[in-house]
Amino acid sequence: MKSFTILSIFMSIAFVVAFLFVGFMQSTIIFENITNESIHKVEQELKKMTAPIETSLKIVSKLSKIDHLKNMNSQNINQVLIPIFNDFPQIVSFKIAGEDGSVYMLYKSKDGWMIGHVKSNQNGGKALWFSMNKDTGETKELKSEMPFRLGKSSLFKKVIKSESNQIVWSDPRKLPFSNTMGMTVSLPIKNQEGQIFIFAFDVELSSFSDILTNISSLKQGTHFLISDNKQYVILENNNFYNSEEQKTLAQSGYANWNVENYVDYGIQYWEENKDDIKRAPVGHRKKHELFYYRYEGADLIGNLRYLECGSNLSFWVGIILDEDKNIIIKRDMGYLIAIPIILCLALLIAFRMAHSMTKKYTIPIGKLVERSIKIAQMDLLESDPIKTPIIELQQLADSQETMRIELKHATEQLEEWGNTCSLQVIERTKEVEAKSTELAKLNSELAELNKNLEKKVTIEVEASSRKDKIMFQSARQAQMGEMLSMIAHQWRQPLSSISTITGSMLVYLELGTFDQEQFKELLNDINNHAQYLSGTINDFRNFFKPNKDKQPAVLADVMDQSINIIGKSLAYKSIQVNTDYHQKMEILTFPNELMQVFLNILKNAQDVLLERKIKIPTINIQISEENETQVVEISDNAGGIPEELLPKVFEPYFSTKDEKTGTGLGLYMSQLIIEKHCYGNLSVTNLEKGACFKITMPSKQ
Amino acid sequence: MPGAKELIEYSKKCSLLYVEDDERLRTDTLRLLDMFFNNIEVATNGKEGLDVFQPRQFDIVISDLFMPIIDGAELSRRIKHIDPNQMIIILSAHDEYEFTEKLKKTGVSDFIFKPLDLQKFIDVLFPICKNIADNKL
Repeated sequence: MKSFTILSIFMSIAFVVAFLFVGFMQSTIIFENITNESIHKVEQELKKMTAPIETSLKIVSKLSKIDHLKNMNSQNINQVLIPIFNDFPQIVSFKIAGEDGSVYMLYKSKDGWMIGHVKSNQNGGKALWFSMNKDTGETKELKSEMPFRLGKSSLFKKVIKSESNQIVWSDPRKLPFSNTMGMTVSLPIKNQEGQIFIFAFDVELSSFSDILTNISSLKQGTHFLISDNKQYVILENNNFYNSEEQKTLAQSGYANWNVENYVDYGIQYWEENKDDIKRAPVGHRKKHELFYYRYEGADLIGNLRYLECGSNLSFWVGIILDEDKNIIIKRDMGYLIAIPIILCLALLIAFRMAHSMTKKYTIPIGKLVERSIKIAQMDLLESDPIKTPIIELQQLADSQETMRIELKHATEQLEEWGNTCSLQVIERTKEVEAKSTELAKLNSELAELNKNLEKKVTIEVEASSRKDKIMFQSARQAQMGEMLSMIAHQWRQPLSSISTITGSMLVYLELGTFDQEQFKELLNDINNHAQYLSGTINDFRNFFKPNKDKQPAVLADVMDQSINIIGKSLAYKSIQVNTDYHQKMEILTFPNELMQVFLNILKNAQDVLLERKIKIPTINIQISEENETQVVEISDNAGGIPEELLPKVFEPYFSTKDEKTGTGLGLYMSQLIIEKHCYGNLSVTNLEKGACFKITMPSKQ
Repeated sequence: MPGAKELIEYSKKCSLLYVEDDERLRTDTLRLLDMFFNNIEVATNGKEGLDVFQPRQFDIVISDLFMPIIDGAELSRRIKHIDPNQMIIILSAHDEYEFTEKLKKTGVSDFIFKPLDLQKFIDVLFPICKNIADNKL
């Protein structure tokens, strides 16, 4: 309920904000409508006025003889001018100005008329003024003499230059002898002598200001008129200023500069757009513009409208409003606020309705929930039936009741089944017990069998160890075969040397070029070769004679002996052997068995290097000591052992070679020798270039 | 049966390139060859042999078979490529028929098997040297 109220409040605020925004948009539309309407009124008024004034001026210029008017006698005034003055209350004066600078003027005054006559030339002169009582026609000379210089008047110059018989409207200005805004409408006429006389009326534009200022919402605004040559009149708070006065007032500190700036904006706008406006075909002319701008923190809205009032009278009218647009908003605020209030009310009503509906639903729903909980807790006793006018809820209540009854039946049945089930369980348990005793019997039988199995296993293991021995023997035999091949390589070069030496000796003998010293030397050489051959035989013999006890040996020496055996074989295959010994300390070990391991690893390296046709086949041997552990590393550059075969290489009967060359026992036996006899470790890893066999053994055993 | 004297008569007129990598055997064999040839160049492996052979010609090339980098078989193949008529004799411990036949296809003229038998040595060299000497006359 609370959230509902808060929601409705929030919604109201949202609506108010939204409507204020819309209201602002609305207010501009209202402004536009009001100003358009009032300007339109002004235009209508002016249109009504301009044509008749023009006609009147033309009539006056034709009917009246200038001389008559010059006299400004009561007859002339009464007969010709007064009817016009009467018909057009806007007309406040009549003037005739001659090319020679003479001016005759008739002004409306409080009592009647004021007549002025300037005799002076173009350089200006003094005006003689008379007052004329409108009833008696009596004239009285006024003592004050006002300076009057028509020749310097811009209007005069403009009119003189313009075509004859062509109406000319002045810029809007403050009219002389009255505090009103107006314009002068002039008509230049050429007489028979070719002299130009200007006939003119001063026309008040009071209707313009009246219309605008009479609209309450625009009363506070600034109104202005801009002529085509940028002269303007500003109306503000029932005061008006023209361009000239504005400047003077500004200097004296009275002027409202804001106003002038607004007007400047209007002028600027007119300047920027007048070409477009004038170029546009008649009827499609953009005759008014709504503009917004921000001036000194105030949001201003303006409407600028081009008026064409006939008889060559056209000008821009502008209305600018700043704070006063609030007036419009206030006026429209009524419905702007009313709508959200109505919406709020509607929401409240909706809420009330919802509340009553909820009540209607919640009570039976509450009961339904309560009973559902009871059913869930298996409380299936009968309770008061739910009665509700809402059909759906009633159906729900009825089906809940049916469910309750069904559930009750089901539970009762379940209980019955449960009882029968427990009897069955007891029977089953007895069966299981019987089975378990059987199982116990079987277990004891199994135990006996296990004992027998152990015996069998022992027998099998013994058999297996026999097999191992056989296996070892066969591996040894295979190695002996390899050894023979190595011996063959080893002996070939010295034997070749011996044969060449004997060959040489034979040639010496045949040629008779021998001497004793030379022969001694050659025989010595032969002996050296024979000693070498004997040495290699010893190496092999030692290799085949198993060590029964550990002997002191340097691993590097054991390795050298191994290389002595296999070296020639490797050399024949262009395999380079690099040795790098960092350790030459004696340790107690089985040198012959170690040699077997080294030879096995070297032979494997040789085989794989040849098989893979490695370009510069190389075997690197390094012997070092780390933490009282002897480390022998034998690596090749044959590319390594495939990863999936790595764990298998030490398994018995595993070989990558064909049956002729490999028994698959070499590495298996090597590992046995290192781990069982030497208490060390033999492992293999793949390095960057190839496989590396690493033998580690404790330095002290 | 030609003896050493007979061979020397012709062999002294022949130039020889001897290629062997084993130092001791090279010394021993060179002693024997010196008695038969006046003009002997020695190379210690196949590559060196090829480098020596390329700028100048030899009447006979005697090379060991198993050598590092470039072996006797490869050396004879390359030499035959440069001069198809070059006489090449291979010193080999392998006396299997298949092996020698295969090498003969690469252009090897004849074989001297280790350990060296003097008479066999003379028997192989005599016709070759005689032929060369006769052609030079």
